[in-house]
Amino acid sequence: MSHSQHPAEIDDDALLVLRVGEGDVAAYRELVKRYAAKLSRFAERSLRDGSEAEDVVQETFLRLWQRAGEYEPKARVTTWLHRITHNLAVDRLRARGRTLPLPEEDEMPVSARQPTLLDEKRRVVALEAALAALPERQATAIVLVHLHGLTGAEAAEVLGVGVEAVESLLARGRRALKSELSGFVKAEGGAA
Amino acid sequence: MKTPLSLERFRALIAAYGARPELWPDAERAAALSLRDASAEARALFDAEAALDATLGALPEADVAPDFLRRLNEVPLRAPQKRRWFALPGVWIPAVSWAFAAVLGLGLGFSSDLLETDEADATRVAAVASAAPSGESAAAPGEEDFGALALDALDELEE
Repeated sequence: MSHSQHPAEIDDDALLVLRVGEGDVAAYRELVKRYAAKLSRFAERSLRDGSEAEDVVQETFLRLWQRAGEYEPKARVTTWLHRITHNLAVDRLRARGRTLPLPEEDEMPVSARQPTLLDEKRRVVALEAALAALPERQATAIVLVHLHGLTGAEAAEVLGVGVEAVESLLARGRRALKSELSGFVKAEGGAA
Repeated sequence: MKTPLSLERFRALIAAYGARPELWPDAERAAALSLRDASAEARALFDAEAALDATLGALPEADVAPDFLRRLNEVPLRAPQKRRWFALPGVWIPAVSWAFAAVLGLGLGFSSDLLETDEADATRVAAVASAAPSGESAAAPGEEDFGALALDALDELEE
């Protein structure tokens, strides 16, 4: 199932991409403003290397600039950009000749295993650590859907898999996160 | 009419998308909400996932380093766009101009052939006129008329 847009429903992002295709630098910079942070987080989550993540995001925006004229508003811009970033990250991983390693148990930050201090900053740190501890595809699915607001179908398009596979990744990822963040989650649940 | 959702499917939806109905597939959202409101078990599953959603929602937007942002913004200054030639406004204007010029040139070419024919005719008429006898010699009335006609023809051509 693909989440396509009817031509009459072209959103603001798509209009910006169409303007970029006509050489509009201001429209390009508006898209940078909207997506640089999201794509950086997404790439860093996949590559676990800040420098390589920056390279991938820069290449994504280069492609946006150079190939905006080829964009057809069948998919949302966010899906299109996430997909470019994902493919570039996968290429980098293949070039490295490896898949993403999982952190060893003893490398896992203490905050992820012992989230006893429930202040906001520690909760965020713990969540970051728990996300980093997830297998790459689970973390990618969680970021796409739960942090960046893509639908399951859109995430499936980015990852090049079916919706059922995405739902499975999401469910396993959420289960692992709940386990890692049990202290925080219980506190949230109790407070709710 | 919406199709009822099984509790098993509701459990799978909640496990994947959490307690955020806006993330649930459009086709199943209404049925899932109905089940949540009608079933205590579904409601309990929903509530159990809400805490993790709140934790995920606490994650702030990542910051982008100013230097990196500057490099991204400078991409258009460093890289030319790859654009399809027929989408370029800079191509259409010269192309149309050249086509117009070509048509105009062909038109003028045909017109100049006609002008050359007129000039040849005029030359012939002028030659006839100059061959006409001067006023000193006696001319036959018919010959005078012919010369006058030739001059009139020249005047018309000049006009």
